[in-house]
Order: sequence, then C-alpha cells, then structure tokens
Amino acid sequence: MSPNPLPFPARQRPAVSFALLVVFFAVLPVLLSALNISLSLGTEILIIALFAVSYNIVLGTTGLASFGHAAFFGSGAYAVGIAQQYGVSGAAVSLVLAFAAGLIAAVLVGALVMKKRGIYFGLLTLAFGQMFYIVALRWDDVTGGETGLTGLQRPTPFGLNLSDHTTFYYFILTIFMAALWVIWRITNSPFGSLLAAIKSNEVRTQYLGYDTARYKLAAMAISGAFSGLAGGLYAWFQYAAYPQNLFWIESGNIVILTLLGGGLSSFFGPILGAAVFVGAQDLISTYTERWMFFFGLIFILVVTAFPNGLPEAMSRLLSAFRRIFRPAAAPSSASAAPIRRTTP
Amino acid sequence: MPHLAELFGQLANGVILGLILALVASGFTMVLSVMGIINFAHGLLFALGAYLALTLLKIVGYWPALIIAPLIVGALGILLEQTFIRRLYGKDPLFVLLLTFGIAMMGEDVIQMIWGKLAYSIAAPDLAKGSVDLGFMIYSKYRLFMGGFALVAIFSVWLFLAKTPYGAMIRAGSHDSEMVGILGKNLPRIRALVFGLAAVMAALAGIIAAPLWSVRPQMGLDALLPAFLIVVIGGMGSFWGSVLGGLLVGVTNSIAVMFVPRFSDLIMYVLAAVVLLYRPRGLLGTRSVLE
Amino acid sequence: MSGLRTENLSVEFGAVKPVDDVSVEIAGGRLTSIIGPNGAGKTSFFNLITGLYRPTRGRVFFDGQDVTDMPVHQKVRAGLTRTFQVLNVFDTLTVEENIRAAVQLRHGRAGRLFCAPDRYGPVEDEVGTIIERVRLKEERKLRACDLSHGHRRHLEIGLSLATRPKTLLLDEPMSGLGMYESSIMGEFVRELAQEFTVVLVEHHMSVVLSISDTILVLSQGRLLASGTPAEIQANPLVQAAYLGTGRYDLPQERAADA
Repeated sequence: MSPNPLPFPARQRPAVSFALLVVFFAVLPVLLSALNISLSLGTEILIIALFAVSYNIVLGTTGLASFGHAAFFGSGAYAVGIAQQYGVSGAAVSLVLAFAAGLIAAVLVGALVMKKRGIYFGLLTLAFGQMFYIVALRWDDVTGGETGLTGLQRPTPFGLNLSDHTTFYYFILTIFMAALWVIWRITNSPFGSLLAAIKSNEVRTQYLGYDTARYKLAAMAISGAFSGLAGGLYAWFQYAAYPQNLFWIESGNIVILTLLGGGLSSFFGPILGAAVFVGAQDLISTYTERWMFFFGLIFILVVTAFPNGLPEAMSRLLSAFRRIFRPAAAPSSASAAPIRRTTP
Repeated sequence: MPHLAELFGQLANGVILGLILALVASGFTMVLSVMGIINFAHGLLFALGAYLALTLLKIVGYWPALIIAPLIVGALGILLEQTFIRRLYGKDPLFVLLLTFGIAMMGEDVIQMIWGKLAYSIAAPDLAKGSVDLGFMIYSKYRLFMGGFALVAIFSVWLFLAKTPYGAMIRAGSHDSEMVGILGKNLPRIRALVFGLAAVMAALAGIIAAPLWSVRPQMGLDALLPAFLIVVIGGMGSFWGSVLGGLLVGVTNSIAVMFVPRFSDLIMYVLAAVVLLYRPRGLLGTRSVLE
Repeated sequence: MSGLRTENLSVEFGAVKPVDDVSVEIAGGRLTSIIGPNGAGKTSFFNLITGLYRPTRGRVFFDGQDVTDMPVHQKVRAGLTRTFQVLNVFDTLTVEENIRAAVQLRHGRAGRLFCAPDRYGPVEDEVGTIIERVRLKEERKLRACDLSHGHRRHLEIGLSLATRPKTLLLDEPMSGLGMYESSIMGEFVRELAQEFTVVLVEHHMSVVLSISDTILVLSQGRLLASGTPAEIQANPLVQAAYLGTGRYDLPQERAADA
C-alpha cells in the first residue's frame, strides 16, 4: 500500500541477503585473480566494510552523525599491537582486546557528548576523536609515537597460516559474516527498534519514559566495540598499528563511504560503499601521489551529486531510462525515499 | 622549579597564543552560529593566510603583505560560500561538514603542490626584531607586536559586530536562527559577509602566527582543533566566550609545556571535557538550538 | 487519583515570560481544561510541568511529591504523560511499531539485543489492546506518515496510553481536525477522563465547555481565573481578555453553536 520503501532497519528476512553476500565474497578471489588484482584488496574491503556497518549503528540506525569513529577503530588496532609488545598474540584474546578497546574508547567519548544533538554532536566527536590521535603520537614508549607499532605478527588459530593471502581472506570473511549477523540481530531487536525511534523523534522517545541518553550511549558503545574489532583485524592486515588509523581523515572516510553505499536507509549499504571506496582508494594510490586531492574530490562529489548513496542514484538513473524508452509505462515505484535528516 | 622570569615569559607566550587562537575560534563560531554549519576548511584559510604572506612579503614587503593576504583569503572565503556551501543550505548540516572536509583535504594538497611539503619560517619584520627589557623580564619584541596586533584585530571585529548595522544583523542571527529568517532578502549577503569576515580573521591569525609556528601544509589543523575546543569551552556563538576560551587554552597550554611537555597538547582536551561535564553550554554560552 | 499542583511556577527566556507566577491545584480524577488566547503560555505550562523546560522559579508537585527537577523520562515513568500540539509520533515507523516502542519499556524488553522485537506475547497482546482502543486496527501495518491527520492524533494518544499514565496532559488534540473527527475526539477524551486525570488544552470552546469539570484561564502567562464552565462563562475578566485580544470568539457564543 505504501509507495515508500521500508524504513531503516531493513525488515526483510535477511537469509537471502546473507546467502548472496557469502556467495559473492566466496567467489570474489576468483574474480580478483582474473583481473590480476591482489587478494589483499578483497581482505581490506571486508575489514573496512565491517567498520562501516559498525559505524552505521550510530549513523543509520540511531541517526547520530559521529565524526570520531577512527578513534575506536584505531584503539582496536593499537590494542592488538600493544598486546603483542607484551607477548599476548592469540587470535581470540587479541580480538576480545580489540573489541574491549573500541568499547571503552566509545564510552569515554560517548559519556561526554551524549546529551548533544546535531552538528554539535559532530563537532564534539570530531574533537575528542582527534584526542586519541594525539595520545598515540605522544605516548611513544607504548604506542611507538609517529612510526606506530610495526612488525606485528598474524596469529595462527587452529594452526592456520594466516600469512597466506587466501587463508587470511577466508579467515577474515568468517569473522566478518559472524559479526555482520550479530550486528543485524542487534539492529533488529527490541533495543534496535528503540534506536530507530530515537532517530525518528528523540523528544517523543523521552516522553515514552526512556532515558534516551543511555540508549544513545549504548549504541555508541556497541558501534565502537565492533569498530574496534575491525581495527584489530586491520592491525593484522597491515602488520602494524599506525597513528594514521586514528586520524580525522579516517573518520571522514568512514562517514563518506557509508553515505556512498546508501547507509542512511539500508543495513547492507555500507558494504557496497566500502567496496567502491576501497577500490577507488587503491586505484588512486596506484596512479598518483596526490591522493588527498582526489579523496577531497570524492567527498565533494558524493555530497553534491549523490548524498543518498549509489543505490538511490542508480535507481534514479534507471527510472530516467525507463521514462525515455517506455514513455507509456506507469511511473516507476523504484524512486527511493527523500533523504531523512539524521540529526534532528 | 622553573625560574620566575621563565614563568612570566611562558605566561606571556600563552596569552599571545590564546589571542591568536581566539581570532581563529571567534570566526569559526560566528559561522557555526549564524549559518549552523561546521566549516572544517576554516583551518585551511588560516594556513592560506600564512602561505600567501610568505609569498607576498618577498614581492611587496611585510606590511603590505599583512593587509593584502587576508583580503585575498577573505575573497576566497566568499567564493567558497558562493560556489559550494550555499548549495547545501537547508540540507542536513552533516553534508556541509563533509563538503568542507573534502575542501580541506584538497586545499592541503594544493598547498603542497604550490609550496611543497617542507616547512618554511617567516622572518620577523625589521621593526620588531630583537627583544625588549620590560624590567621584570626580557621579552621578544615580535611577540609583543603579535599580541598587540591580535588584540587590535579582536577589538575591531567586536566594534564591527557591536556598532554597525551589519554587525547587529550578525548578532541577531547568532542568538536565534529564526531571526535570520526575518532578515529575509539580506540573508544571502549576510552569509557571504560572515563567511568572508571569518576567513579574513583566520588568515590574519595565520600571518601573525607564521614567524612562530613553522609554515607547513598541516598547520591548518593545528589551529582548527584548538578552535573546536575553544568553542566548547567558551560557549557556542559567544564572541567573548571565544576570547576567554582562547586565553584559557593558550595559558594552560604554555604552563603545561613547562611541566608536562610531552602531553601539553592534551591539556585543552581535558579542559574542554571538564567544562562539558560541569557547564554543558560553555563558560559564556546561552541556551542554543544546536544542543 | 493523581493530582497536580504548581507553586509560583515561572519561566523566563530573556525578557519574555511565557509562564509567570502560576499557582494552581489540579484535582485528581477530573477533567480540567486550560484555555486562553494564543501566546497565553498554555503549551509552555505543559512543557514546565513535564520537564521539557526548567522553571526559572516555582515548584511542581505530582501526587503530592515535588517533581520539579525530575527529567522528562522519570516523570513519564511516575505516570505523568502528555501529547503535543504539533503532532508528535514516529513518522518512519508503522502504527504497531509506534505503540510497541512505548509498551516494551514496562515489560523490561527495551534492553534486549538478541531477539526479534515483535514475537513476545505479553507485549503483542498489549499492543493489540491499545491499537483497538485508539481505533486504529485497520491501520496497524501502515507507517505513521501515511495516516490521515485524525488517525495520527489517535496514534499519539495511543502512545501516551501505552505509558500507563495516571495523569494525561492533552495539548490541543483537536487542532487540525474537521467537525466530525473533532466530535469523535471529544467523546474519546471524555472516555479517557473516566479512567485518568486529564488536563486538556483546547480551542474548541463548545467541547471544552461541555466536557470539563474545571476550567483554568491563562492570559499572558498568568492565571486569570478558574472555576466551573458556568462560572468561567459568567466571569467578566475572562470576557474582557477574550474580547481584548480580538482573536477568539466569546466562549458563550461558540457554546451556543453546539
């Protein structure tokens, strides 16, 4: 009856989407090798996609525009790195530490900003996120200062050799799918439905008797924890933890790629965004040193040309085609919802 | 225990740093409260001021450069508002922040293309070279000059805001975004004016700071993040709040340099966190629509 | 039943005083209406009582307890609920999701992370009951933004009912409704007043005069008069205030229409 698409979070049965994702990522290595592209690009896409889906718990589900998520991602990376300096390098322990580091960092930032809304929330997360970067830079006896922690090892869970590109890829894929399912479960739980209510109308949610600041803090904590997990995986991926992992540019990247994939209205959108963005990043850094210039260009392009993401832009393009080639046909119902304000 | 004269010296350094940061922050918060946008490219304008002065002073000398460079940056600021930012009014403020993110990144890279990655230093003008004996301490003439110049700039902006009709409109907008609606057809002009004025202030601060900080591509961010925190500390939309916040950050930072040099950058974050917890609206902030 | 009392309640925004030194006693178990010209401070009064505004001066008592400094959500949990003049529902959610968001709090479900939101019997039963009560059974799967204005008003009252209120503050529930819809709403409000303490802000004078037990008149932020509908109609001060603004008809003229 309603011509509008379903609002976030997606309520369709997820089994199909999950199955499609598994199939796609399972055959991606074949595709990449046919194109003569290193499989590590696929691994990086998976990790960044996990980061983006985690970030979207805050942006897409709760409607809070955080600009400090690199701090939580980087905290996870440093947790894995620092643990290795103390001889702790087991796979499970490292992941738990990365998860906890992201969670603690997010609670620290969240406790300061939870009562704020809109762009003031954005400003504060950006500022306090950058604080983690400065700590990493200055506390060099623990964090390695400007050079970061290099020479990290990948673990050997179940005797797997994760230095092998293919093994590492499928190992990451397994963690990615598991984490994705847990996050899907959370966004589609009673708790998740409350986050959707807060996104829709925070004051009204308070007038139902909810202490919304606590729920926002919880959303931030969960989002930060999974971002930390992604950061931990990234430390293994690059055999290092760098201050750049905590830098504001990284925070901006995750916002822009989430928007690019249509994350404001779709649970799986950020995965698409991550694939396109990481792919473009790889391409740009292969051909030019001026990556900052082109990244800036991507930001400007996304914001001015398709702020509702690629899927919406595609469907607009498609319906335009249909209008041209089948003028008699009924107007397409594929047009997506107008952009919803994420920061009431 | 550091020597007393050293303490005085550091305090003076802190006040001057604070005045420079106040100049950056008050422009930033003016744009934030009048237009409801976070201009992440504000730091870029600061850096551009310094770089343009660097080039201009070789051609026209120090004093003309001090006037011309901010005017060019002001014009650039207005251009930025007219070409990009005005397309996004009425949309989610998230988009403007991302847009200015992009502009800041491109701008930093353009600076690297033109001037290179290396840091430069600007020599102090002949008039302000050397140091002066103040009785209780000996202090750099140039720093004194900088402090005085920043003070004059801050008071000129205040005079403009307090005593001119345009200033009155900007102040009205700072208090209540609905008031800006009442301004009606003046609104586009006010927005361009606010953006241009903020750009001039940032550029001035950049030029004054240039001989002390090294002039390098990342210097914009070095000024922008303190400006964020100063807005939090002083209170959003409050001009004197920015000045007070700037001085607090400057002075605590300089004192921290003496005692905990490695973590001196972190002191302002602690300060901002404490203010947020105990005075959520900032020291001089009032209730705001942006909370 | 739960009464409300205010003592010298005032709020100032700069030079503006939307509510100025209002001391009233709102008896439990009755239907009290607040009338007054636009800008009289009726909505601000609700905002103060429910905790959206912090009073500059004065106290608020609910159930005999001082609740002045309680945040909104705690007051709601204590049984003090409101609706809004400008419609306030979750536009992007369906009718049942709207109600469920409100109901699941009391069932201790809102913190659950690892189950579906819509498969817990006791919550679903209560959601069904409330949807029936606010006459939205046919619309339960529709999104709130696709409902008619009248239905959205019903939904908003449903949201408030779901919090199990003791006292219900209704802010112009009939604004924007047609004649027929208004009369249904009037009946509905009367029905609610059997069960809860109801405080009603409304401009439809015919309805106010016919269903209220007590009427309070606010003007320019101050309490002008209080009494039964008959007393208020006869009060020369009230007549003057309404005539003075020129914005509204005299109460009795509108009453004559009914």
